[in-house]
Amino acid sequence: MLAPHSRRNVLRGMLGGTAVTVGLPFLDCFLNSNGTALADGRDLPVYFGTWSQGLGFTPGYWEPKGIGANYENNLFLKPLDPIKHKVTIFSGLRAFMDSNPLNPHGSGPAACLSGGHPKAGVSMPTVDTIIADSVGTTTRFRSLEVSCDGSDGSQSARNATSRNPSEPSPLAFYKRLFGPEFRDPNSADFTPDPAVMARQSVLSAISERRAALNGRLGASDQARLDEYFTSLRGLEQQLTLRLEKPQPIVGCSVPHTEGEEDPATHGTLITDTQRDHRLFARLVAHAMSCDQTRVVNMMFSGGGGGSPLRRQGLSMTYHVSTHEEATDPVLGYQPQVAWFMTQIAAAMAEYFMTLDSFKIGDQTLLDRSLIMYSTDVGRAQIHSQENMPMFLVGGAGGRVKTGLHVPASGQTVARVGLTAQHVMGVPVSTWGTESNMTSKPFTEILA
Amino acid sequence: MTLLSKVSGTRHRLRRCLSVAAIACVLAPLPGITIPDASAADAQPAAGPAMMHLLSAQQYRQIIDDTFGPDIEVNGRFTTETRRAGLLAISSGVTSVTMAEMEAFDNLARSIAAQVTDRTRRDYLIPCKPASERAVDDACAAKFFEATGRFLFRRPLTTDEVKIQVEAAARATEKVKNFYEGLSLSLASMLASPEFLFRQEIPVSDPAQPGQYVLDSYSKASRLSFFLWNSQPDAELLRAAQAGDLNTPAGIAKQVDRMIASRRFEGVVRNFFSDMLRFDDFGNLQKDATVFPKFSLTVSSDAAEQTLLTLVDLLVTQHGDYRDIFTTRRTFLTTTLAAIYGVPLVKSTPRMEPPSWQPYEYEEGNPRAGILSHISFTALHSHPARTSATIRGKALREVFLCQTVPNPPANVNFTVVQNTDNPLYKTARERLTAHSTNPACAGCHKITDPIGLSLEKFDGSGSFRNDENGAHIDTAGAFNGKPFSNPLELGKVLHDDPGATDCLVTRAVSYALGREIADGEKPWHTALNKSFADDQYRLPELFRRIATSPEFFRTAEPQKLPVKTAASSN
Amino acid sequence: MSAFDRVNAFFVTLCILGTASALPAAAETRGFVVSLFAPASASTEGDCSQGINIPLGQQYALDLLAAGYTKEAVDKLAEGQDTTMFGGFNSSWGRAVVFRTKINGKPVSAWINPAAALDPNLHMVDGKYGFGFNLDGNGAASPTGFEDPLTHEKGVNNQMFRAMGCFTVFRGDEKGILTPGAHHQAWTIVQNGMPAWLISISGDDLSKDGDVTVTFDVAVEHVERDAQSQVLRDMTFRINADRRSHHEFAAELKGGVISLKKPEDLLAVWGEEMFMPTLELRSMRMRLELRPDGALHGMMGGYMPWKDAMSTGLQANMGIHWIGLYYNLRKAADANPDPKTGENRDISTAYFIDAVPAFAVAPDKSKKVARR
Repeated sequence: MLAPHSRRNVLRGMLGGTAVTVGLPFLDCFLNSNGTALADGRDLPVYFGTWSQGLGFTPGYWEPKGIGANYENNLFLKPLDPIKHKVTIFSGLRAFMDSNPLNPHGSGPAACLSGGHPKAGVSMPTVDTIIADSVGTTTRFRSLEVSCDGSDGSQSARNATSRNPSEPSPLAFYKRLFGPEFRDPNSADFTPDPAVMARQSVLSAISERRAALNGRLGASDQARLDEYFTSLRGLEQQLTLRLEKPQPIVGCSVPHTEGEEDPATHGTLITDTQRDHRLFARLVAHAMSCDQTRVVNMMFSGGGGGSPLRRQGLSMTYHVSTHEEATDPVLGYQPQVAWFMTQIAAAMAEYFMTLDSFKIGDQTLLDRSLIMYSTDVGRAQIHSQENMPMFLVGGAGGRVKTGLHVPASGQTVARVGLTAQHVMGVPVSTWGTESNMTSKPFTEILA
Repeated sequence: MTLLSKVSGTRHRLRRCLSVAAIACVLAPLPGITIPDASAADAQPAAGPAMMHLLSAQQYRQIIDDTFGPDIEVNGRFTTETRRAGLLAISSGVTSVTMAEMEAFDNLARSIAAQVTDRTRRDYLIPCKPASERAVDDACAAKFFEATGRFLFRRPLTTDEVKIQVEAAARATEKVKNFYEGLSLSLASMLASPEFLFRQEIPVSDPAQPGQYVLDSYSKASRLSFFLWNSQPDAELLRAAQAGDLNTPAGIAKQVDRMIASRRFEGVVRNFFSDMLRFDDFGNLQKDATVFPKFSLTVSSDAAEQTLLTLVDLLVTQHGDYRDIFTTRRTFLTTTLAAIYGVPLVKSTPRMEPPSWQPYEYEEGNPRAGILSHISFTALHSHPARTSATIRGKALREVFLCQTVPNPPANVNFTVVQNTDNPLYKTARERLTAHSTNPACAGCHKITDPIGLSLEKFDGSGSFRNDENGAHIDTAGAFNGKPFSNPLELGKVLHDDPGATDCLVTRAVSYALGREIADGEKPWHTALNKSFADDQYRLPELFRRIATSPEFFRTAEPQKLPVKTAASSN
Repeated sequence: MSAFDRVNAFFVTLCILGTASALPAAAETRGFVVSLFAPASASTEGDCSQGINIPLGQQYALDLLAAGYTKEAVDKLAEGQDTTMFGGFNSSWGRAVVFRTKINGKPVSAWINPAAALDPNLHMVDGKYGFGFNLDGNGAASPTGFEDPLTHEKGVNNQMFRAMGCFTVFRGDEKGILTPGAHHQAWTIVQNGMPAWLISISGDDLSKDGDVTVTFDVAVEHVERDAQSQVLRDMTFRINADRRSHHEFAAELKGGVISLKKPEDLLAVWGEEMFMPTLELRSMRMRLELRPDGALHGMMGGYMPWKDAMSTGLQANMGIHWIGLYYNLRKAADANPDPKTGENRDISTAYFIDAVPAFAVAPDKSKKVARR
């Protein structure tokens, strides 16, 4: 039984940070011996997420040293060190503008997340919605969007005009997830889906003709055909499982709550954003562990004037600093801007480490996730669309290699989005528009 | 006597460039290996086996396009093929379908079937209307599966097969209460079935030669269409198969003429050369942008197309001599490619439109002659930041001469070759000479480097240069004892080398059969070599000869296996 | 195969021979496409003796006080707002900043009516150094002359730098190195969509000193980028058939540096609407260096309408106080007085210019005027 919801006790439990995961017990007995799949053979889910933030990282100070595995993090990304073995960094990417007018803080996200630039009447779904349509159809929420800077800003959109708004309040987010509509995955009522039944019923047509195929093949071809039928049986088995009442969900834990002080309302200090981000991170992890969703879009902060992050005691906002602060001739970068960038990298690291602290068998939520980091600009000072940092984080259930530095100088940011779609099993060959169009995923990171 | 044997139907590995063997490489040039005359050894040499090929991604797309129209979207990831004996086309004869691929094929099948039966297409893709959209209509479903199934299975469906699909459609329709959805799911099951995904060749006894085997009529039709069109047989070819036309040389010749005359034949020439020239490697090609800033992703994707356009123009449109691929000055460029080649080229399209291809002819004497001077060769076979005479030489021998050059042995110190900043060794030739003082390596480098070094004026991105680190680049060398002083002369030497045309015949036959040439097929290979010369090395003539040869349809005796009975297989 | 169909229809070799009729026959012509064009800023320590202009938000607060708001009112408006966002019509702050100006007692947009807004008297450069040319011919006697920090020529005129040089985003350094500022941004943004600017240099032998001709043209195409996001070298451009942008100047090549024989007027080089609708430089001088890597690098200067100089800051709408810039340019303008008001209409300027090798082809496609 959950305690009554108030911002106060949700946050107390969350901010306490230790041993909040009581709720349902871990059900490792349902895992197979590798901890990679349910004991009955169903694969564990793979999650997709985005983590976005505005104003990027100043070129020259984030690109790692070394190529491939065991890279060394550059100055601004040092906070990612504890988790860098699960962070793959792409450097040198570019958001091609072609002849589209620059939307200073909008063009970059459009290119990174939807592979091009919105034009009148043309739909530009973002990559998370494409993936959600593919993997998120069986969960309670097709996707979840949250924003940490107090705004409802979101970069998730089905098309140029329909944006998935973000939830800015951790309390409201908690209620949405674990309020009265939350159903224990063990006791939920279950009705089989007729569409799945229909799919299952036609597959038997293939096996019915098997006899006619056999008998005219050589040994090696016969073995190949046998492998085909083994795979077909696996497919049928998947459908059968979907027609059965769901098994208890491994690792599902509901956040525990106790009463404490209600923190101040959301201000414009970066510390406010960091606090909400920490709350969201844990709620997201709980939601994923209970398979409430497979897709989560986390927006730390926006880029332009709409997201005025401040530092205590500093008059200029982060955004204004990027444009107005002088570059320190000795350091080679803008010192205040650098401070913000390091703070943001630290928050990002915290998110990944939170997901990494939730265990599923001998894997973690992060191991079963693919999180795509993107931003809006290469160099915030001039709204450059070059040297755009993008990362893919997490193991996607073993589908990708992690912890690599992949230089991709002058190549389109859309290659990362295409890679993410391939990893998540979206059937797409070519993605993006104009010069951002690509049919080349980063195959070197595929496991 | 050449260092390397020519390949005639089989592959001969150079001896491993390692320790003791390396000394053989250096000190004892291999004698030309003579291939025993297989036909003399055995009066009736065995043909190769009948094959079971998994459709390639391109074939799958083309078949959907041919069957349901080009507006059906085929969005899916196909497994990467691996090259065997120089061709990807051979690997489909050995691969199967894994669980992950099964899921992918199933997803793809349902997406295609849903498009076929959607409101915008059902009126013309389904030959009847159901009595009720919400109920089963076996008669209409049967009509659809009979009409569509013969293309998908590349033969008429048996009564039982039609019945199975109709019943599946009925079961699904009852569950979802919608005829078209039920039909769609049943169609999807056909598209995910082994009869569709694998093209299985059926051998039958040759009535003309007892004890020998040939493909059955429909297998013949498939072999022809996949060879000449890279797709399924069309209605006319299926008709010919049904009527027995493909059992007579005249009947086959008529179909082959028709197929080669079709525009689709160009597609096969493109597919064949993309495969033979390893253009799939462009997918993994990386260049260091700080060294080669001009080598953008656009260049990478245009480079292969340049060569394919050049080849199709020379070999199909102009009906030219295959050997001229090493010397032709005619090519096609985009503005971006022109910039990296350093020649002027005007867009013919309005501003902002994607660059179009323009014909371009280099002047006499320009080193850019022959496809070896294209970026698709020079940059594809180079390191990310520098050239490699060794890799180029190896690629030239393997791709164009069907030879196999071993990979370098382990534990070799490559520092001298890799360091392009060493003031002692300014050019690649100097670096390789220093490196080759190591006897373990010298033998093999003698085989690869002289031809590779002649291409050194094309840098690692394919741009032209006269010097490296301020030192003049010497492009002289010799191949098979014939000296050359620059890439133009190397092109002429290759043009006249019988190994190049022999290799092309080998690749073409392997591509046609989807497997390596069997021992018993060597006399056929020899005969094709001769006719290729008689035909002035015209590629379409070679393909015609292959497709009309009786050997093309001959197979080995089917293996009798202790197979499961129909009852036990389920 | 569609590409094949198209090209196959006309397999002809491009015929690129001879030179454009307008040009004198020259033994050697090299073509270039402009890769960078940016105001030449020579910032040195202390050259804004009153300080660098304060951040926008703070300046807007001062503007509001000057317009009659109380300190409390300004603080209240600013609460929780990004105070740098002048155009935020959905915030009371944004509306106050924009409509702080009154005409006949009625609030109007300061942006549309800059002359009606109060001059915030933003700082101007008063240091010793500035890049440019001796445009007014007065040499060291010129009261507004700078000393060029590289050539050490005295009396160079660059009032645009004087007006802009105390804005953070317009600061460069005395070695001629540009920091990524507003000018840089404006140029890189518009460049990808604006018709490329072409330059060609013709002469008997460009490896030796002698007379040369410098030609300016506008292309049909815009520049392409290489894998490093730099302007792609050796691209082919078609010259725009509109001859108004075509200029030819007699020049001299000496020690690898090209300079004009006499001041020239460069009029109506078609640019990009937002950035620089047309480039006009009167009484123009130039110093262009032919570099060993084949590129062209140097500086051009002349008098341009000061209102055109405003456009440079328009795209770069952050970090620049628009009204302050308006008044600074207007006050610093030093040429072409309006006969009625006596107010100067033109301002002395200097721009850095970089260009990389390119092919230029005459509009009828059959003639080439410049080879890289």
